This record gives sequence, structure tokens and C-alpha cells, in this order.
Amino acid sequence: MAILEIRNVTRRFGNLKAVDDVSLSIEAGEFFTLLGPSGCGKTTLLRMIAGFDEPDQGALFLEGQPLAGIPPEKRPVHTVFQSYALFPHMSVAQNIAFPLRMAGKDEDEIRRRLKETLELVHPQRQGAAFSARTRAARSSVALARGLINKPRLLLLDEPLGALDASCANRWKAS
Amino acid sequence: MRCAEATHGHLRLAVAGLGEIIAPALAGVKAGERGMFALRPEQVRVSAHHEAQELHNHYHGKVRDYLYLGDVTVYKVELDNGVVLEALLANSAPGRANSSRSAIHSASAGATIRECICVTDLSTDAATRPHESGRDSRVTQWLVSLPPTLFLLVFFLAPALIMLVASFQYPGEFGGLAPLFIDGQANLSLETYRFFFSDLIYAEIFLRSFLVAAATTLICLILAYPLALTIAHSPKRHRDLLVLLVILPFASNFLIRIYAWIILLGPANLLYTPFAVIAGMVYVHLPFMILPLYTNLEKHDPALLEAAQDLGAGALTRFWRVTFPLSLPGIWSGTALVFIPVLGMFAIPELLGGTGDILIGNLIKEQFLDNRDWPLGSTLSLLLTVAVLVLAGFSAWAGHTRRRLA
Repeated sequence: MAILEIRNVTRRFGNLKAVDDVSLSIEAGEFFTLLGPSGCGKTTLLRMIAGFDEPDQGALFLEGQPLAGIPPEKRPVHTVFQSYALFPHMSVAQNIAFPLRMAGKDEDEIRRRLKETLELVHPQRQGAAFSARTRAARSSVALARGLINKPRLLLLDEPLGALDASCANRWKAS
Repeated sequence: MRCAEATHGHLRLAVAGLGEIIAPALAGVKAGERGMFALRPEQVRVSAHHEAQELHNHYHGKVRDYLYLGDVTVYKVELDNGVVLEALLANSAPGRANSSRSAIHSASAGATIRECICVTDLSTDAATRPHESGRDSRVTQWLVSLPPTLFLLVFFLAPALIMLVASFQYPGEFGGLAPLFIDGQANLSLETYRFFFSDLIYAEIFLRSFLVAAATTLICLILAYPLALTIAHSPKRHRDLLVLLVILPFASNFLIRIYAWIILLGPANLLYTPFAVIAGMVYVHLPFMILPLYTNLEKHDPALLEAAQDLGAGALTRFWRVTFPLSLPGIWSGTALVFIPVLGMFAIPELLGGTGDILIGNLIKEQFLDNRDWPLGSTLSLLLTVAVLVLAGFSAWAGHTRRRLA
């Protein structure tokens, strides 16, 4: 069964049809890329999947369940934002562990998952030495934060720009 | 690379493969020295035309490869002598976009080899290095800060020192101060301090003042936060008007506004009560809490709240985990702007409060104007200043948070 099904989704902003009758179906484990010039509706579609926007027509289904009316915080869908949107008042570890804390996981599990996830996105730099000063490091943190609570679906809004190729390949593989 | 020339303004470097490069001066580098030279890709500009020939460092080359990476594009440019330079250009930057886009278009049209000019703009890099500010800018800085420094020395530090001395002097017979020296002997005492600490009433008034200031600050914060948040979240075109409304009360005189409270509170039998004092204090100081809070909240990146929501945070969690901690600097400045003036305020307790509601401000005013005991007034002022400084120091220490993802 498709993990995500988008059925005849249309979204208008005034006279502008940002998304016009889009249907597609994405299988579990699939790496699906939306390509197009800026302003063609990629972000609008992602925002509807994440729950920040609702379609005017059509419907979205996650593992067969309709997504309509479910707020973003209740959807097992995480987004890596274009600007990364890292919390500036939290450390790298606090940022990455945020989804686990929201899910009410206990400290032991948070520590274990944190270690696993850091190994996954940035095996050569870990723990205290890991900082988020550079763009690439920031994108790794944003990615780790998106992955750590094992969402059913991970949305990436123009994320590869700052990921170095090896890192990009590694997490694609994972 | 070898440094060919080092002057006050610039370095002339001889770089293998690139020839001569003019770089900003760097302290400690002498002509003839050898060293490393790094070129940041984002400092290299690529342009299709010979538009930047007047810049010091430019090279002719061909775009061998480019990679579109979302908001930036990386170009690999092979110079005529075979050296490959890497340039990183923002796709959104005005001006730059034209040249980079033309490069993309020509490349995507099949012309993978494109003639271009690489310009390395080293001057912008220099501007970000603080240690390179020369003696000239230090003199300018000093000159600019001189008038405010003088003002503070003459009208703040000097009076404070006069008060310090006055607090140890004896009061004059008809007000003012007794002479500092009598027959060549210093005419000083610790009398006022002994007096202050001998009677609990002063400590009690200090304590009450701090409680009134704390209550006022807390009520202001509770009232101001939702308002500041509402203004910060309202459409941009309405915000200036709303901020104007917040500061509009300042247009009418402070005393007139307090007299208006007398008219309001009198018939309600609330005049001359602690409630009246706090209501007046909150009313007068509320804008000083709203404005710093609004300034802070307005700058918050809405993407952070979306990210928190996306990652599973409900509305309340989003507020306590994201909005509130990020607004702490605004809360601190608002608290300072409300708490400290309230501590010294004497007009409001005098007009709205009863006999039991006098605060330090009233006490100090009384010493100078009614009791003519300047030394005691000075002592009270100094102790108040010290208490505020201790409190400010403590809150600075407590509120000190490490810069994290700067």
C-alpha cells in the first residue's frame, strides 16, 4: 500500500492556482523528488502534507488514513525546513532530541537515540565537539532532528543545497 | 605564497598559479614572508562580461562545471593557466543573479564551456575582521563616545560622589550640610547609617518598596505579554498604529493622568489604598514593558514555531519551549525599565496611597524637602542605588545564558 497518496489536490491563493489537480502515490521506502522552478507549488504541496495548509479540493492519505483535519503536531510527518529552523536557544543535542521530548520518551531512550542519530548524519563529529556553526553542520542537525523520532514520512524542502555529497548519499542510503 | 609587499593599507601577494593578488593589510605580516593563502568560494564572483575589470584581482577562465544547490550555485572555473577556482554564488542576490543565471542558461543549452571572469572580492572579507580596525577608527570611536562619557561623569558620577560624601556629613542647622571641615578636622560621621540600621521602620519601607516594585513588574508583564504578542502577530501595516496607541498616553502629562485615577478611584472607595498605588504604578509603567517585549517578539522567526509544531509540539508547548525562552531578553529589559523607576517613584504613592503606603522615594524626598536632613536623604538614596545594583548584578548572573546556536 502506498505510504502517501495525494488525490486530485488543488490549492488556490486568490486567483492563483498554486497546486492544480495533483495526484500521486508514494510507496514506503521510496525516495521521491519534486522538481520545478521556484513558485511552482512544491512548498505548498509539502505544507499540505505536513498539515500547515489544507487543500481546497482533493484529499491526502497517509497509509490509507485521510489526513484532513489532523494538525501538524499530530501527523507522523516531519519536515526539514528550507531555513532549517533550528531553535537558537537550544544546544545541538537539545534541538535534535526535541521531537523525542515532545513524544514523551524517557531520558535513557533519548540518550540512546541521540547517539544513534548523530552517528547516522555525522559519524566523524559527535558529542560535545559537534557544533552547528557551518551551513553543512546546521543542515545535519536539522536532518537529525527530522529523523530521530522515526517519522513515517520525512519531507525535505530544498535541503540538499548545503549537504555535502557524501552526507547526502549516506542518509539516502539509510 | 610569498608576500611581495606589505603596507599599511594592503598586502601584495605573489601566489603560485594566480600571480599577484592584492589583499587587505594584516597586522604582523612582513614583505618577503611565506605563508598560506585561502580563498573562500563565496568571496569569488563570476561574471560573464568584463564588468569588473577595475577590481584588483580578476582572472579570465572558463566555467568547467556548475552545481545548482538550491539557494546557491557552485561554479568550477578553470583559469587560462589550468588552475581551477571554486566560486559560490547566491542565486537570489540581486545583480549577481544575472551573471550566474546567464551562466546556467548557456551551460544548460549545451555550451558547457563558458568564458568568464573570476573576481575575488577580498575587501568584504577584511570588513569582517575586527582586529584590523586601525588606530584611526579607534580615535574616531573615542571621540564619538567622549560627549556621552563626559555627560555621565559630570551629571551622574560626580553627583553620586557628592551624595556619598554628604551621607557621612552632618546636616546644616537650617537644612543643607554642615561644613566638611571644622578647624582643620574632618567633620564626618556614620550617624546616618547607624540611624538607618537602628530602626526597623526603614528596612520595612525598603522591603515594601521592593514588594510594590516586584508586584507592579509582574502585573505589567502579565498584562503586556499577550498585548505585545498580539501586536507582533498582527498584519505589518497595523503594527505601527498599535505601537503608537501604546505610547499615546505619554502625550498627556503624567500628573494629569494620575489625577484622573483619583477621580476614578475616589467614588469606588479605593483611593489611598495599596491597590490604588499598584494600579497607578502599573498604569504608568505598562508601556515600558510592552515596547521591549514587542520589539523582541516581532523579530521571532515564524519558521521556528512551525518547526516545533511539525515536530509534535502543541500550542502551549510551543509557547513555553520556543516563544517564551526566546523572549527572555525582552522580558529582562522590560523588567529593568519597570522595576527600577517604580522603586524610586514618589508621586504616585503620595497622590494615590495612604499614610501606610509610603515608599523609599517618598522617604528620600521627605528628607530633602521636609526634614532638611540631607545626609540621611543621601544615605537612603545610596542604599537604594546599591540595592538596585546588587539586584541587577544578580539577575544578570542568573539570566546569563550561554550563546548556543549563534
